[in-house]
Amino acid sequence: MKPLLRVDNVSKRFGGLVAVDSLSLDVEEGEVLGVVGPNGAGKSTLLSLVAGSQRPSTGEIWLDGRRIDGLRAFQVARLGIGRTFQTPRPFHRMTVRDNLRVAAAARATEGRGRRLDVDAILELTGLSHLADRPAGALTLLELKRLELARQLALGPRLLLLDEIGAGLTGSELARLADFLTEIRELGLTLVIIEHVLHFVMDLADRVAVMDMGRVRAVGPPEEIARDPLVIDAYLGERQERNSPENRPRVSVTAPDAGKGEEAGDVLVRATDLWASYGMVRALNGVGLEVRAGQAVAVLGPNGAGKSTLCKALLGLVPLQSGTVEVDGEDITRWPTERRVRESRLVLCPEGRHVFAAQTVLENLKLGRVASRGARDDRLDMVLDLFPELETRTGQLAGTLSGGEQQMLAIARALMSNPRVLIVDELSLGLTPAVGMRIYERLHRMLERGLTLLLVEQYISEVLATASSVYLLERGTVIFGGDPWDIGEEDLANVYLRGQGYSKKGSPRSSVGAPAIEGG
Amino acid sequence: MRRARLQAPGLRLAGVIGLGAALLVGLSPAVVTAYELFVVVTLLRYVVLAQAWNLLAGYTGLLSLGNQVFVGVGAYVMSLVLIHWGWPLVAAFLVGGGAAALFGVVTYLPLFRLRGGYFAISTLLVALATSVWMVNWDFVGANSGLNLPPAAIPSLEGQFFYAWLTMLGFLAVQWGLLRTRLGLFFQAVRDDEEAAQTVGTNPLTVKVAAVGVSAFASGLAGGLLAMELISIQPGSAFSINVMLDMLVMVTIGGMGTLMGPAIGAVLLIVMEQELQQYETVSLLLKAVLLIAAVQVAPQGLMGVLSTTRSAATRWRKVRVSETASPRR
Repeated sequence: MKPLLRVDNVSKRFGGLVAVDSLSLDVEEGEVLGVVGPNGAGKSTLLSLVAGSQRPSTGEIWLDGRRIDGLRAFQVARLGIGRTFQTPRPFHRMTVRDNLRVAAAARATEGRGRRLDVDAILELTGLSHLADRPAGALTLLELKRLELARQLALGPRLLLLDEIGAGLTGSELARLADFLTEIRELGLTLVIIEHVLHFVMDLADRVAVMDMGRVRAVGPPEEIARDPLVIDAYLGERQERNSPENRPRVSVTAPDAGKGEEAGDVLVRATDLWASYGMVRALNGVGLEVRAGQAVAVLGPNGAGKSTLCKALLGLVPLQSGTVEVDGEDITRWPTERRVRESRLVLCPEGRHVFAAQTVLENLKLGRVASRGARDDRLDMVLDLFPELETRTGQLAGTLSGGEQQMLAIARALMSNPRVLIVDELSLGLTPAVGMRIYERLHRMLERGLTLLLVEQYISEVLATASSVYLLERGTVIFGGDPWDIGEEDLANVYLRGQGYSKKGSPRSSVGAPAIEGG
Repeated sequence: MRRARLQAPGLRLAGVIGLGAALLVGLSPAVVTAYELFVVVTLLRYVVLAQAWNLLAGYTGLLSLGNQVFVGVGAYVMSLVLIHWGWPLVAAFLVGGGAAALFGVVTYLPLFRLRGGYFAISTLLVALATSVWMVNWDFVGANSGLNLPPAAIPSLEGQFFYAWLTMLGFLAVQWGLLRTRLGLFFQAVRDDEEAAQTVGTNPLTVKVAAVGVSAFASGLAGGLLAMELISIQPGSAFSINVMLDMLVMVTIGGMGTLMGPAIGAVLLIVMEQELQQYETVSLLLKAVLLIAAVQVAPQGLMGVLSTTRSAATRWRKVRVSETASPRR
């Protein structure tokens, strides 16, 4: 059978970065294909290429025997490919009905998908009672429905859904899943792009796993969940973590916090943090303790609230309630710059944010500006720690490789002489080898008495470095404690199947373990 | 109440036309003085200008700061056609509008790639460059401009009917346009251009259409201006003050509403009449009003009206439910 969509050897390069790398993928008429993979795997780029928002550097894309890779986004839409956005993008000043009418007016000319009129779609998507409201007044779940409804009004044959579950809570996700099942009854072909594997597990006929711009595995969901390649990509190299020779290293560096003899006092204590972005809840009563000289890891899938937690500690997102204390002093109301100067909390943000147009040396010196007490020998110490940078001090930061930029970002943060260094998504977009190298340097800083809070989406070397771990899911701490107590089951539940949602998987049993203070 | 209004747009249009007819009689040359008539003609021209700009900025999201150029082109082309070809006024008037539309589409076409502030700045540059060009172009009289053939100029009463028809015609065209596919596309492109593409809308053709219509109406307003001034110069026909007035009228009245610009125009004219002797005060007051509108009522007076109206509806509903449900 001829596939409805054929992606044939497609690559997309942005400058030196290869986002999609010689990728080939077929989508059959009427199937639901899930595409999963870590952040930066190229999923959204792939979707943009198919939808015509971007053009492939090389390769061809065919829709039902017609080549579409040269077409513009609106032409692709008229041929019957609908797409939703990760963050809903309604026509906010128009009514819900008019949102759909726009799509119906420009309706797919050659699509064979079942045609529904606007009112029928409003009924189907449960938006009828909101039809005359301006779209800007809807809640997130309603907006997600509107995204779908608007694309259905286009009368598409193929619907590309980009992270449609992002930002929704358990019961909302379940409702969305039911709704998607209804949509597929209409005879539509669906491609569901998801960061989190579990959402697509029940829906998809096949799941494709992407990593570094390539499809690493395609198959039925059950098979994918068991694929060692996938488990590896999501959970990191487990055997290494469990090997006995790794254990002593950690306990020497940071003794068991429970015993408390050698561990420092609690340096950072966050209690019952609540935060949200508009309607999206980000933190639901998160609590956390970091002891002096300790490395603490915060893990969890995309959207769990990890970055929000970092920003909350720095005062970069407003808290609805909760307190942050450093050294017993309540800093909840302190502005960010006072936290940096006085508490010496320093954040190395996700995505590095080096000053691309400045040299490595200038970047480092800018890092020093933030702290009053820093001495000149800081620079020597930092360059000593990252010899890779020493040979490149005159080079523009923007021309460094991803790994070097991450090193520079950490080095710059270290320049301001932090007591607590918070690193958000250290290994994001880095190869394991480079990530490991950076962890090794952090380890040396830890030995010199620096306190670390490491936020990671994927379980990598972080477990070997950290002396305690918090596992976050949808803004809630579901595990907190010694990394060795964290069960394979817990990780698998959060990362691969999720819980509170899956119909197949058993509800989490092993996570009943002492979920940290917090609530 | 809101739903009832939506279901009967025709009724509303009929109301507007009825009101217009009443005003037509009430303000007709037979009733008002010559000076008052002159003010009314100016008012009608301002309504057209404000609505033309509103179509771009309010409905399509194109923050054009160069609409005064369309006024100038309309005024000049009409005058040139009258002077050189001696066509009837109606024909020259319409050619002026058409020329403005063509000019708008051609000059704005390369600017449509730019977004937001960059688009706004580039349209302002087009306007400034054009007026500099006009000052130095001998064929159109350079700095001293053009004098219209006196025989071709209609009386004040004649101008009144031209202005009236232009305003009413453009209002009707807008009203209709906003109910077609194109009207939906305007608003979709305004709210989210990329999302509009994903439902099959070609933003380029939508923008071209919006500028074409807006520039045509502005060009007609330019023709009205030329009739009034008889002698036009780059400084008067391409005046940037006109652009500022459009901005003030639409912002105060309510962007993206059909009647908002008209209300804004009435306010502006009343204010200018009251403060005739104090030109500086008038200018300052405009600025203050603009800032106040942006701060206090970003949706303009129309926004304020609809909020109070829905609040009143809510209040009534609460009253009804309170009286309907028995107290414990």
